[in-house]
Amino acid sequence: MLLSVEDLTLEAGGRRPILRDVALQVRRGEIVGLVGESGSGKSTIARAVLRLLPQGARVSGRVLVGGEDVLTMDDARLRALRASDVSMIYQDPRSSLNPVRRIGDFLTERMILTLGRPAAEARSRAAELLAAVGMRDPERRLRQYPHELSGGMLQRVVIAAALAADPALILADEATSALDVTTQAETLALLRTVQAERGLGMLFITHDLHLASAFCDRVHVLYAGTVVESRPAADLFADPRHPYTAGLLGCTPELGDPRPLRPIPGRPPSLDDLLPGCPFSPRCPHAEAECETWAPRPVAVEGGVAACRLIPVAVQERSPV
Amino acid sequence: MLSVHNLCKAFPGTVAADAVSFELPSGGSLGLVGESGSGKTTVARMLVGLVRPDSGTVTVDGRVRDPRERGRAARLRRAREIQMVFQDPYVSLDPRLTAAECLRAVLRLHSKDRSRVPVLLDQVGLGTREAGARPHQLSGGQRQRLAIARALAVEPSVLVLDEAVAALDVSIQAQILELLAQVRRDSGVALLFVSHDLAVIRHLCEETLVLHRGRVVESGPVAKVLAEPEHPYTRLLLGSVPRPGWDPAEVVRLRREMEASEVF
Repeated sequence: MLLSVEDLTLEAGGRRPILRDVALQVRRGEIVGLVGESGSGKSTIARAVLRLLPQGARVSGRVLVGGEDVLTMDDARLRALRASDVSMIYQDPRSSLNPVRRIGDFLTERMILTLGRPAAEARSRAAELLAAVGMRDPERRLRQYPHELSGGMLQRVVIAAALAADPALILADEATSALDVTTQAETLALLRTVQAERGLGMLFITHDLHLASAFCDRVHVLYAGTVVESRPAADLFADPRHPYTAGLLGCTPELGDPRPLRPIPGRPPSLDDLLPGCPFSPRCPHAEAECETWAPRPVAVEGGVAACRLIPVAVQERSPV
Repeated sequence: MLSVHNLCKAFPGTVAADAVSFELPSGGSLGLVGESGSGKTTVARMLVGLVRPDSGTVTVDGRVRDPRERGRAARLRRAREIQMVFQDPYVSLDPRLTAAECLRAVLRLHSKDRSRVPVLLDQVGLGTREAGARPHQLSGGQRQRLAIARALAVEPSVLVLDEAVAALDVSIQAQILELLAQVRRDSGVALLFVSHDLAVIRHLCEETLVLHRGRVVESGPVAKVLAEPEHPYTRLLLGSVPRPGWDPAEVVRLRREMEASEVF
Protein backbone atom coordinates (compact mmCIF):
# COMPACT_ATOMS: atom_id res chain seq x y z
CA MET A 1 0.00 0.00 0.00
CA LEU A 2 1.44 3.34 -1.08
CA LEU A 3 -0.59 5.59 1.20
CA SER A 4 -2.62 4.37 4.13
CA VAL A 5 -4.37 6.81 6.46
CA GLU A 6 -5.65 5.07 9.57
CA ASP A 7 -8.07 6.58 12.10
CA LEU A 8 -6.70 10.05 11.57
CA THR A 9 -8.23 12.53 14.00
CA LEU A 10 -7.04 16.12 14.07
CA GLU A 11 -8.14 18.84 16.45
CA ALA A 12 -7.03 22.45 16.40
CA GLY A 13 -9.10 24.60 18.69
CA GLY A 14 -12.56 24.51 17.08
CA ARG A 15 -15.59 23.06 18.82
CA ARG A 16 -15.35 19.95 16.66
CA PRO A 17 -12.30 18.11 15.26
CA ILE A 18 -11.15 19.13 11.75
CA LEU A 19 -10.83 15.43 10.89
CA ARG A 20 -12.56 12.54 12.63
CA ASP A 21 -11.39 8.92 12.29
CA VAL A 22 -10.45 9.32 8.64
CA ALA A 23 -9.35 6.12 6.88
CA LEU A 24 -8.29 5.88 3.25
CA GLN A 25 -5.82 4.04 1.05
CA VAL A 26 -4.07 4.76 -2.24
CA ARG A 27 -2.39 1.95 -4.15
CA ARG A 28 0.32 2.29 -6.75
CA GLY A 29 -1.17 3.18 -10.13
CA GLU A 30 -4.48 4.23 -8.61
CA ILE A 31 -6.33 7.57 -8.65
CA VAL A 32 -8.34 8.10 -5.48
CA GLY A 33 -10.76 11.00 -5.27
CA LEU A 34 -11.51 13.06 -2.17
CA VAL A 35 -14.69 15.12 -2.54
CA GLY A 36 -16.17 17.65 -0.16
CA GLU A 37 -17.40 21.21 0.23
CA SER A 38 -15.40 23.98 1.86
CA GLY A 39 -14.50 23.18 5.45
CA SER A 40 -14.94 19.43 4.97
CA GLY A 41 -11.24 18.84 5.72
CA LYS A 42 -10.15 17.57 2.31
CA SER A 43 -7.11 19.83 2.02
CA THR A 44 -6.18 19.10 5.64
CA ILE A 45 -5.89 15.40 4.78
CA ALA A 46 -3.55 16.13 1.85
CA ARG A 47 -1.43 18.41 4.01
CA ALA A 48 -1.29 15.84 6.80
CA VAL A 49 0.35 13.42 4.32
CA LEU A 50 3.26 15.91 4.23
CA ARG A 51 2.90 16.58 7.99
CA LEU A 52 1.93 20.18 7.29
CA LEU A 53 -0.40 20.48 10.27
CA PRO A 54 -2.30 23.49 11.60
CA GLN A 55 -0.61 25.24 14.51
CA GLY A 56 -1.24 23.63 17.86
CA ALA A 57 -2.94 20.63 16.27
CA ARG A 58 -3.55 17.51 18.32
CA VAL A 59 -3.28 14.48 16.10
CA SER A 60 -4.00 10.82 16.61
CA GLY A 61 -3.93 7.93 14.17
CA ARG A 62 -1.38 7.05 11.53
CA VAL A 63 -0.44 8.32 8.06
CA LEU A 64 1.65 5.64 6.39
CA VAL A 65 3.56 6.39 3.19
CA GLY A 66 5.25 3.23 1.93
CA GLY A 67 4.69 1.71 5.39
CA GLU A 68 6.41 4.55 7.33
CA ASP A 69 4.38 6.78 9.65
CA VAL A 70 4.75 10.38 8.50
CA LEU A 71 3.43 11.72 11.82
CA THR A 72 6.24 10.16 13.88
CA MET A 73 9.22 10.00 11.51
CA ASP A 74 12.34 12.06 12.29
CA ASP A 75 13.01 15.40 10.62
CA ALA A 76 15.66 14.14 8.19
CA ARG A 77 13.36 11.41 6.91
CA LEU A 78 10.47 13.91 6.68
CA ARG A 79 12.60 16.25 4.56
CA ALA A 80 13.48 13.36 2.24
CA LEU A 81 9.80 12.40 1.99
CA ARG A 82 8.77 15.95 1.11
CA ALA A 83 11.65 16.33 -1.36
CA SER A 84 11.22 13.15 -3.32
CA ASP A 85 8.56 10.62 -2.28
CA VAL A 86 5.44 12.78 -2.31
CA SER A 87 4.62 15.81 -4.49
CA MET A 88 1.77 18.25 -4.04
CA ILE A 89 0.07 20.21 -6.82
CA TYR A 90 -1.94 23.20 -5.61
CA GLN A 91 -4.87 25.04 -7.15
CA ASP A 92 -3.22 28.29 -8.17
CA PRO A 93 0.04 27.79 -10.07
CA ARG A 94 0.87 31.48 -9.75
CA SER A 95 1.20 31.14 -6.00
CA SER A 96 3.60 28.19 -6.39
CA LEU A 97 6.04 30.03 -8.64
CA ASN A 98 8.30 32.94 -7.79
CA PRO A 99 7.30 35.69 -10.25
CA VAL A 100 10.83 37.11 -10.55
CA ARG A 101 12.58 33.79 -11.25
CA ARG A 102 12.63 31.97 -14.58
CA ILE A 103 10.76 28.70 -15.18
CA GLY A 104 14.13 26.95 -15.50
CA ASP A 105 15.25 28.11 -12.03
CA PHE A 106 11.98 26.88 -10.54
CA LEU A 107 12.38 23.44 -12.06
CA THR A 108 16.09 22.92 -11.36
CA GLU A 109 16.26 24.44 -7.86
CA ARG A 110 15.13 21.33 -6.02
CA MET A 111 17.19 18.99 -8.21
CA ILE A 112 20.38 20.95 -7.60
CA LEU A 113 19.96 22.06 -3.99
CA THR A 114 18.09 19.14 -2.45
CA LEU A 115 18.92 16.18 -4.64
CA GLY A 116 22.50 17.34 -5.39
CA ARG A 117 22.45 16.92 -9.16
CA PRO A 118 24.91 18.82 -11.38
CA ALA A 119 23.39 22.00 -12.89
CA ALA A 120 23.74 20.94 -16.53
CA GLU A 121 22.12 17.58 -15.88
CA ALA A 122 19.29 19.23 -13.93
CA ARG A 123 18.69 21.60 -16.83
CA SER A 124 18.43 18.90 -19.46
CA ARG A 125 16.18 16.91 -17.13
CA ALA A 126 13.97 20.01 -16.70
CA ALA A 127 13.68 20.33 -20.49
CA GLU A 128 12.74 16.64 -20.71
CA LEU A 129 10.06 17.11 -18.08
CA LEU A 130 8.53 20.09 -19.90
CA ALA A 131 8.43 18.00 -23.08
CA ALA A 132 6.79 15.19 -21.09
CA VAL A 133 3.98 17.51 -19.97
CA GLY A 134 3.30 18.44 -23.58
CA MET A 135 4.98 21.85 -23.82
CA ARG A 136 6.43 22.79 -27.18
CA ASP A 137 9.92 24.31 -27.38
CA PRO A 138 10.97 23.45 -23.79
CA GLU A 139 14.36 25.19 -24.06
CA ARG A 140 12.64 28.53 -24.67
CA ARG A 141 10.13 27.89 -21.85
CA LEU A 142 13.00 27.39 -19.39
CA ARG A 143 14.13 30.96 -20.07
CA GLN A 144 10.64 32.47 -19.67
CA TYR A 145 9.08 34.08 -16.59
CA PRO A 146 5.74 32.97 -15.05
CA HIS A 147 3.88 36.07 -16.32
CA GLU A 148 4.67 35.07 -19.91
CA LEU A 149 2.69 31.83 -19.62
CA SER A 150 -1.06 31.21 -19.39
CA GLY A 151 -2.62 29.56 -16.33
CA GLY A 152 -2.92 26.22 -18.12
CA MET A 153 0.72 26.30 -19.24
CA LEU A 154 1.87 27.25 -15.72
CA GLN A 155 -0.08 24.34 -14.24
CA ARG A 156 1.87 22.09 -16.66
CA VAL A 157 5.09 23.59 -15.31
CA VAL A 158 3.93 22.81 -11.77
CA ILE A 159 3.10 19.24 -12.81
CA ALA A 160 6.55 18.92 -14.39
CA ALA A 161 8.09 20.13 -11.12
CA ALA A 162 6.01 17.62 -9.19
CA LEU A 163 7.44 14.85 -11.38
CA ALA A 164 11.04 16.10 -11.12
CA ALA A 165 12.02 13.98 -8.14
CA ASP A 166 10.28 10.82 -9.41
CA PRO A 167 7.71 10.71 -6.60
CA ALA A 168 5.58 7.63 -5.96
CA LEU A 169 2.58 9.65 -4.77
CA ILE A 170 1.00 12.84 -6.13
CA LEU A 171 -1.38 14.95 -4.06
CA ALA A 172 -3.49 17.10 -6.39
CA ASP A 173 -5.39 19.68 -4.31
CA GLU A 174 -8.02 21.26 -6.62
CA ALA A 175 -5.21 21.16 -9.19
CA THR A 176 -7.50 21.96 -12.14
CA SER A 177 -10.30 23.92 -10.44
CA ALA A 178 -9.00 27.36 -11.38
CA LEU A 179 -8.55 26.47 -15.05
CA ASP A 180 -11.01 26.97 -17.89
CA VAL A 181 -13.13 23.87 -18.57
CA THR A 182 -11.35 22.98 -21.80
CA THR A 183 -7.92 23.57 -20.24
CA GLN A 184 -9.02 21.53 -17.23
CA ALA A 185 -9.87 18.59 -19.47
CA GLU A 186 -6.54 18.81 -21.28
CA THR A 187 -4.62 19.04 -18.01
CA LEU A 188 -6.49 16.01 -16.68
CA ALA A 189 -5.68 14.04 -19.83
CA LEU A 190 -2.02 14.88 -19.21
CA LEU A 191 -2.19 14.00 -15.51
CA ARG A 192 -3.76 10.64 -16.32
CA THR A 193 -1.11 9.90 -18.96
CA VAL A 194 1.88 10.63 -16.70
CA GLN A 195 0.19 8.83 -13.81
CA ALA A 196 -0.39 5.69 -15.90
CA GLU A 197 3.07 5.74 -17.52
CA ARG A 198 4.85 6.02 -14.22
CA GLY A 199 2.46 3.91 -12.18
CA LEU A 200 1.94 6.77 -9.71
CA GLY A 201 -0.58 6.80 -6.93
CA MET A 202 -2.69 9.95 -6.87
CA LEU A 203 -4.92 11.53 -4.27
CA PHE A 204 -7.20 13.78 -6.31
CA ILE A 205 -8.99 16.42 -4.25
CA THR A 206 -11.94 18.30 -5.69
CA HIS A 207 -15.26 19.89 -4.78
CA ASP A 208 -16.79 18.51 -8.00
CA LEU A 209 -18.42 15.10 -7.52
CA HIS A 210 -19.04 14.70 -11.25
CA LEU A 211 -15.39 15.32 -12.00
CA ALA A 212 -14.23 12.92 -9.29
CA SER A 213 -16.47 10.12 -10.50
CA ALA A 214 -15.34 10.64 -14.10
CA PHE A 215 -11.63 10.83 -13.33
CA CYS A 216 -10.96 8.61 -10.31
CA ASP A 217 -10.97 4.87 -9.64
CA ARG A 218 -12.39 5.18 -6.13
CA VAL A 219 -13.93 8.17 -4.37
CA HIS A 220 -14.19 9.19 -0.73
CA VAL A 221 -16.87 11.73 0.14
CA LEU A 222 -16.03 13.92 3.09
CA TYR A 223 -18.45 15.88 5.27
CA ALA A 224 -17.44 17.92 8.33
CA GLY A 225 -14.16 16.01 8.67
CA THR A 226 -15.81 12.57 8.44
CA VAL A 227 -15.61 10.19 5.49
CA VAL A 228 -19.30 9.53 4.84
CA GLU A 229 -18.94 7.26 1.83
CA SER A 230 -16.09 5.36 0.10
CA ARG A 231 -16.96 3.55 -3.12
CA PRO A 232 -15.71 2.77 -6.62
CA ALA A 233 -16.36 5.92 -8.68
CA ALA A 234 -18.93 4.37 -11.03
CA ASP A 235 -20.98 2.84 -8.17
CA LEU A 236 -20.94 6.07 -6.21
CA PHE A 237 -22.32 7.98 -9.15
CA ALA A 238 -24.92 5.42 -10.20
CA ASP A 239 -26.12 4.42 -6.77
CA PRO A 240 -25.08 6.70 -3.90
CA ARG A 241 -25.77 5.20 -0.47
CA HIS A 242 -25.14 8.09 1.90
CA PRO A 243 -27.84 10.80 1.93
CA TYR A 244 -25.13 13.48 1.61
CA THR A 245 -23.69 11.91 -1.55
CA ALA A 246 -27.20 11.56 -2.95
CA GLY A 247 -27.86 15.18 -1.96
CA LEU A 248 -24.71 16.42 -3.71
CA LEU A 249 -25.66 14.60 -6.91
CA GLY A 250 -29.25 15.83 -6.64
CA CYS A 251 -28.24 19.48 -6.39
CA THR A 252 -25.57 19.53 -9.11
CA PRO A 253 -26.90 20.77 -12.46
CA GLU A 254 -26.32 18.38 -15.37
CA LEU A 255 -26.15 18.79 -19.12
CA GLY A 256 -28.97 16.36 -19.91
CA ASP A 257 -32.67 17.11 -19.66
CA PRO A 258 -33.11 19.52 -16.77
CA ARG A 259 -34.50 17.82 -13.71
CA PRO A 260 -35.51 19.98 -10.77
CA LEU A 261 -32.53 20.63 -8.51
CA ARG A 262 -33.08 19.48 -4.98
CA PRO A 263 -30.89 21.79 -2.91
CA ILE A 264 -29.59 20.51 0.41
CA PRO A 265 -31.08 22.88 3.00
CA GLY A 266 -28.80 24.79 5.37
CA ARG A 267 -25.08 25.29 4.92
CA PRO A 268 -21.92 23.21 5.36
CA PRO A 269 -20.98 23.21 9.08
CA SER A 270 -18.16 25.40 10.33
CA LEU A 271 -15.58 24.40 12.94
CA ASP A 272 -17.72 26.08 15.59
CA ASP A 273 -20.71 23.82 15.01
CA LEU A 274 -20.79 21.13 17.65
CA LEU A 275 -22.03 17.92 16.06
CA PRO A 276 -22.28 15.13 18.61
CA GLY A 277 -23.98 12.58 16.35
CA CYS A 278 -24.08 12.18 12.59
CA PRO A 279 -22.73 15.51 11.27
CA PHE A 280 -25.16 15.50 8.35
CA SER A 281 -28.28 14.90 10.45
CA PRO A 282 -29.31 18.62 10.71
CA ARG A 283 -29.53 18.80 6.88
CA CYS A 284 -30.56 15.23 6.14
CA PRO A 285 -34.05 14.59 4.69
CA HIS A 286 -34.17 11.08 6.23
CA ALA A 287 -32.79 11.98 9.68
CA GLU A 288 -34.45 10.52 12.78
CA ALA A 289 -34.02 11.60 16.38
CA GLU A 290 -31.45 8.85 17.04
CA CYS A 291 -29.22 10.17 14.23
CA GLU A 292 -28.39 13.21 16.38
CA THR A 293 -26.56 11.03 18.87
CA TRP A 294 -25.32 8.20 16.61
CA ALA A 295 -21.53 8.40 16.23
CA PRO A 296 -20.85 7.76 12.55
CA ARG A 297 -19.09 4.50 11.71
CA PRO A 298 -18.55 2.82 8.35
CA VAL A 299 -21.25 0.34 7.34
CA ALA A 300 -20.43 -2.12 4.54
CA VAL A 301 -22.32 -1.45 1.30
CA GLU A 302 -21.78 -2.74 -2.21
CA GLY A 303 -18.15 -2.04 -3.21
CA GLY A 304 -17.25 -0.02 -0.13
CA VAL A 305 -18.57 1.66 3.00
CA ALA A 306 -21.01 4.41 3.93
CA ALA A 307 -21.41 5.97 7.38
CA CYS A 308 -25.16 6.17 7.76
CA ARG A 309 -27.30 4.76 10.53
CA LEU A 310 -30.20 4.21 8.16
CA ILE A 311 -28.33 2.14 5.58
CA PRO A 312 -30.40 -1.05 6.02
CA VAL A 313 -33.57 1.01 5.69
CA ALA A 314 -32.12 3.14 2.92
CA VAL A 315 -31.45 0.03 0.85
CA GLN A 316 -35.18 -0.74 0.78
CA GLU A 317 -36.55 2.77 0.52
CA ARG A 318 -33.88 4.50 -1.47
CA SER A 319 -35.37 7.40 -3.37
CA PRO A 320 -34.35 7.43 -7.05
CA VAL A 321 -31.49 9.83 -7.76
CA MET B 1 -37.01 43.86 -23.56
CA LEU B 2 -33.24 44.13 -23.96
CA SER B 3 -31.79 44.53 -27.39
CA VAL B 4 -28.05 44.57 -28.06
CA HIS B 5 -26.85 45.60 -31.47
CA ASN B 6 -23.31 45.22 -32.86
CA LEU B 7 -21.42 45.85 -29.63
CA CYS B 8 -17.69 46.20 -30.25
CA LYS B 9 -14.89 46.73 -27.77
CA ALA B 10 -11.15 46.42 -28.28
CA PHE B 11 -8.47 46.60 -25.62
CA PRO B 12 -4.81 46.99 -26.57
CA GLY B 13 -3.83 43.68 -28.14
CA THR B 14 -7.22 41.97 -27.92
CA VAL B 15 -10.74 42.27 -29.26
CA ALA B 16 -13.06 41.65 -26.31
CA ALA B 17 -16.29 42.02 -28.26
CA ASP B 18 -16.65 41.81 -32.01
CA ALA B 19 -20.11 42.79 -33.29
CA VAL B 20 -22.05 41.09 -30.50
CA SER B 21 -25.82 41.25 -31.03
CA PHE B 22 -28.67 39.54 -29.21
CA GLU B 23 -32.14 40.07 -27.81
CA LEU B 24 -33.60 39.18 -24.46
CA PRO B 25 -37.42 39.40 -24.23
CA SER B 26 -39.14 40.68 -21.07
CA GLY B 27 -39.08 37.96 -18.45
CA GLY B 28 -36.78 35.82 -20.61
CA SER B 29 -33.52 34.17 -19.66
CA LEU B 30 -30.32 34.12 -21.67
CA GLY B 31 -27.05 32.39 -20.80
CA LEU B 32 -23.81 33.95 -22.03
CA VAL B 33 -21.26 31.17 -22.01
CA GLY B 34 -17.53 31.30 -22.66
CA GLU B 35 -14.10 30.79 -21.13
CA SER B 36 -11.69 33.38 -19.81
CA GLY B 37 -10.84 35.81 -22.59
CA SER B 38 -14.09 35.13 -24.45
CA GLY B 39 -15.35 38.63 -23.71
CA LYS B 40 -18.41 37.56 -21.72
CA THR B 41 -17.64 39.79 -18.74
CA THR B 42 -16.83 42.75 -21.00
CA VAL B 43 -20.21 42.35 -22.69
CA ALA B 44 -21.96 42.22 -19.30
CA ARG B 45 -20.09 45.32 -18.14
CA MET B 46 -20.97 47.21 -21.31
CA LEU B 47 -24.66 46.46 -20.70
CA VAL B 48 -24.63 48.10 -17.27
CA GLY B 49 -22.34 50.91 -18.39
CA LEU B 50 -19.15 49.98 -16.53
CA VAL B 51 -17.29 49.69 -19.83
CA ARG B 52 -18.00 52.06 -22.70
CA PRO B 53 -18.36 50.26 -26.05
CA ASP B 54 -16.32 51.41 -29.07
CA SER B 55 -19.50 51.09 -31.11
CA GLY B 56 -22.93 49.50 -30.97
CA THR B 57 -26.05 50.12 -28.94
CA VAL B 58 -27.86 48.69 -25.93
CA THR B 59 -31.62 49.28 -25.93
CA VAL B 60 -33.97 48.58 -23.02
CA ASP B 61 -37.74 48.76 -23.57
CA GLY B 62 -37.21 50.77 -26.75
CA ARG B 63 -34.90 53.38 -25.19
CA VAL B 64 -31.21 53.49 -26.15
CA ARG B 65 -28.91 53.53 -23.13
CA ASP B 66 -26.55 56.45 -23.43
CA PRO B 67 -23.93 56.68 -20.67
CA ARG B 68 -23.15 60.25 -21.73
CA GLU B 69 -26.59 61.35 -20.68
CA ARG B 70 -25.82 63.06 -17.37
CA GLY B 71 -27.84 63.91 -14.31
CA ARG B 72 -29.45 62.13 -11.41
CA ALA B 73 -32.71 61.24 -13.14
CA ALA B 74 -30.98 59.64 -16.13
CA ARG B 75 -28.61 57.69 -13.87
CA LEU B 76 -31.42 56.36 -11.72
CA ARG B 77 -33.44 55.44 -14.77
CA ARG B 78 -30.47 53.47 -16.16
CA ALA B 79 -30.19 51.71 -12.81
CA ARG B 80 -33.85 50.71 -12.99
CA GLU B 81 -33.33 49.32 -16.48
CA ILE B 82 -30.45 46.96 -15.67
CA GLN B 83 -29.05 45.76 -12.35
CA MET B 84 -25.96 43.60 -11.92
CA VAL B 85 -24.90 40.92 -9.43
CA PHE B 86 -21.19 40.12 -9.30
CA GLN B 87 -19.28 36.93 -8.53
CA ASP B 88 -18.03 38.14 -5.16
CA PRO B 89 -20.67 40.19 -3.34
CA TYR B 90 -18.15 40.87 -0.58
CA VAL B 91 -16.59 43.63 -2.63
CA SER B 92 -19.84 45.01 -4.02
CA LEU B 93 -21.63 45.50 -0.67
CA ASP B 94 -20.89 48.37 1.70
CA PRO B 95 -19.15 46.75 4.70
CA ARG B 96 -20.58 49.34 7.14
CA LEU B 97 -24.25 48.74 6.34
CA THR B 98 -26.37 45.95 7.74
CA ALA B 99 -28.48 43.99 5.26
CA ALA B 100 -31.60 46.00 6.14
CA GLU B 101 -29.75 49.34 5.92
CA CYS B 102 -28.29 48.35 2.58
CA LEU B 103 -31.76 47.74 1.13
CA ARG B 104 -33.21 50.85 2.80
CA ALA B 105 -30.50 52.99 1.18
CA VAL B 106 -31.33 51.68 -2.29
CA LEU B 107 -35.07 52.13 -1.77
CA ARG B 108 -34.55 55.70 -0.54
CA LEU B 109 -32.30 56.52 -3.51
CA HIS B 110 -35.03 55.39 -5.89
CA SER B 111 -37.84 57.03 -3.85
CA LYS B 112 -39.50 53.70 -3.21
CA ASP B 113 -41.47 52.49 -0.24
CA ARG B 114 -38.91 51.73 2.50
CA SER B 115 -41.29 49.42 4.33
CA ARG B 116 -40.61 46.85 1.61
CA VAL B 117 -37.31 45.86 3.30
CA PRO B 118 -38.73 42.81 5.15
CA VAL B 119 -40.57 41.69 2.01
CA LEU B 120 -37.36 41.85 -0.03
CA LEU B 121 -35.36 40.01 2.63
CA ASP B 122 -38.04 37.35 2.80
CA GLN B 123 -38.11 37.05 -0.98
CA VAL B 124 -34.44 35.98 -1.00
CA GLY B 125 -34.75 33.80 2.10
CA LEU B 126 -33.01 36.05 4.66
CA GLY B 127 -34.47 36.27 8.16
CA THR B 128 -34.46 38.86 10.95
CA ARG B 129 -31.05 37.73 12.24
CA GLU B 130 -29.48 38.36 8.82
CA ALA B 131 -31.32 41.70 8.52
CA GLY B 132 -29.17 43.14 11.31
CA ALA B 133 -25.90 41.58 10.11
CA ARG B 134 -23.13 43.34 8.21
CA PRO B 135 -21.59 41.63 5.13
CA HIS B 136 -18.67 40.09 7.07
CA GLN B 137 -21.17 38.42 9.43
CA LEU B 138 -22.94 36.70 6.54
CA SER B 139 -21.88 33.53 4.72
CA GLY B 140 -21.03 33.60 1.00
CA GLY B 141 -24.47 32.32 0.04
CA GLN B 142 -26.24 34.83 2.29
CA ARG B 143 -24.18 37.69 0.84
CA GLN B 144 -25.20 36.60 -2.65
CA ARG B 145 -28.85 36.54 -1.50
CA LEU B 146 -28.45 40.09 -0.20
CA ALA B 147 -26.83 41.22 -3.47
CA ILE B 148 -29.82 39.78 -5.35
CA ALA B 149 -32.29 41.50 -2.99
CA ARG B 150 -30.45 44.78 -3.45
CA ALA B 151 -30.68 44.43 -7.24
CA LEU B 152 -34.39 43.50 -7.07
CA ALA B 153 -35.17 46.46 -4.79
CA VAL B 154 -35.18 48.87 -7.73
CA GLU B 155 -37.46 46.53 -9.74
CA PRO B 156 -35.21 46.37 -12.80
CA SER B 157 -36.25 45.13 -16.23
CA VAL B 158 -33.07 43.08 -16.59
CA LEU B 159 -30.84 41.39 -14.02
CA VAL B 160 -27.27 40.68 -15.19
CA LEU B 161 -25.47 38.01 -13.16
CA ASP B 162 -21.74 37.65 -13.81
CA GLU B 163 -20.54 34.22 -12.55
CA ALA B 164 -22.88 34.81 -9.62
CA VAL B 165 -22.78 31.23 -8.33
CA ALA B 166 -19.23 30.27 -9.37
CA ALA B 167 -17.62 30.90 -5.98
CA LEU B 168 -20.25 29.07 -3.93
CA ASP B 169 -20.26 25.51 -2.57
CA VAL B 170 -22.31 23.08 -4.64
CA SER B 171 -25.13 22.76 -2.11
CA ILE B 172 -25.38 26.57 -1.75
CA GLN B 173 -25.11 27.08 -5.51
CA ALA B 174 -28.24 24.97 -5.98
CA GLN B 175 -30.13 27.09 -3.44
CA ILE B 176 -29.21 30.31 -5.28
CA LEU B 177 -30.14 28.83 -8.67
CA GLU B 178 -33.56 27.86 -7.32
CA LEU B 179 -33.94 31.34 -5.86
CA LEU B 180 -33.14 32.97 -9.21
CA ALA B 181 -35.63 30.76 -11.06
CA GLN B 182 -38.28 31.65 -8.48
CA VAL B 183 -37.51 35.38 -8.61
CA ARG B 184 -37.91 35.29 -12.36
CA ARG B 185 -41.28 33.51 -12.09
CA ASP B 186 -42.56 35.90 -9.40
CA SER B 187 -41.28 39.28 -10.57
CA GLY B 188 -40.98 38.77 -14.33
CA VAL B 189 -37.45 40.20 -14.38
CA ALA B 190 -35.36 39.07 -17.37
CA LEU B 191 -32.14 37.24 -16.50
CA LEU B 192 -28.85 37.52 -18.34
CA PHE B 193 -26.67 34.87 -16.82
CA VAL B 194 -22.94 34.98 -17.56
CA SER B 195 -21.10 31.75 -16.80
CA HIS B 196 -18.43 29.31 -17.89
CA ASP B 197 -20.61 26.43 -16.66
CA LEU B 198 -22.80 24.90 -19.36
CA ALA B 199 -24.72 22.74 -16.90
CA VAL B 200 -25.73 25.78 -14.82
CA ILE B 201 -26.88 27.63 -17.95
CA ARG B 202 -28.76 24.55 -19.12
CA HIS B 203 -30.58 24.56 -15.82
CA LEU B 204 -31.47 28.23 -15.57
CA CYS B 205 -31.79 29.61 -19.10
CA GLU B 206 -33.99 29.16 -22.16
CA GLU B 207 -31.64 30.70 -24.69
CA THR B 208 -27.87 30.70 -24.89
CA LEU B 209 -25.07 32.50 -26.67
CA VAL B 210 -21.62 30.94 -26.99
CA LEU B 211 -18.79 33.47 -27.06
CA HIS B 212 -15.28 32.71 -28.25
CA ARG B 213 -12.60 35.41 -28.52
CA GLY B 214 -15.18 38.18 -28.52
CA ARG B 215 -17.35 36.66 -31.21
CA VAL B 216 -20.73 34.94 -30.99
CA VAL B 217 -20.00 31.51 -32.49
CA GLU B 218 -23.37 29.93 -31.79
CA SER B 219 -26.75 30.89 -30.35
CA GLY B 220 -30.24 29.50 -29.94
CA PRO B 221 -32.43 27.60 -27.49
CA VAL B 222 -30.22 25.98 -24.83
CA ALA B 223 -31.59 22.47 -25.38
CA LYS B 224 -30.94 22.65 -29.10
CA VAL B 225 -27.44 24.17 -28.86
CA LEU B 226 -26.38 21.52 -26.35
CA ALA B 227 -28.02 18.62 -28.19
CA GLU B 228 -26.85 19.57 -31.69
CA PRO B 229 -23.82 21.86 -31.36
CA GLU B 230 -22.81 23.17 -34.76
CA HIS B 231 -19.64 25.12 -34.07
CA PRO B 232 -16.45 23.16 -33.26
CA TYR B 233 -15.87 25.39 -30.23
CA THR B 234 -19.29 24.55 -28.77
CA ARG B 235 -18.45 20.86 -29.28
CA LEU B 236 -15.13 21.38 -27.49
CA LEU B 237 -16.87 23.10 -24.56
CA LEU B 238 -19.46 20.33 -24.31
CA GLY B 239 -16.82 17.61 -24.54
CA SER B 240 -14.97 19.21 -21.63
CA VAL B 241 -17.78 18.69 -19.12
CA PRO B 242 -16.97 15.69 -16.87
CA ARG B 243 -19.56 12.90 -16.90
CA PRO B 244 -19.60 9.14 -16.32
CA GLY B 245 -17.36 7.34 -18.80
CA TRP B 246 -15.69 10.62 -19.76
CA ASP B 247 -12.29 10.52 -21.41
CA PRO B 248 -10.42 13.83 -21.13
CA ALA B 249 -8.17 12.72 -23.99
CA GLU B 250 -11.19 13.17 -26.28
CA VAL B 251 -11.01 16.92 -25.53
CA VAL B 252 -7.46 17.09 -26.88
CA ARG B 253 -8.81 15.65 -30.16
CA LEU B 254 -11.73 18.14 -30.25
CA ARG B 255 -9.28 21.01 -29.72
CA ARG B 256 -7.22 19.87 -32.71
CA GLU B 257 -10.40 19.62 -34.76
CA MET B 258 -11.34 23.18 -33.82
CA GLU B 259 -7.88 24.56 -34.57
CA ALA B 260 -7.95 22.82 -37.96
CA SER B 261 -11.32 24.43 -38.72
CA GLU B 262 -9.99 27.87 -37.79
CA VAL B 263 -7.23 27.65 -40.39
CA PHE B 264 -9.77 27.53 -43.19
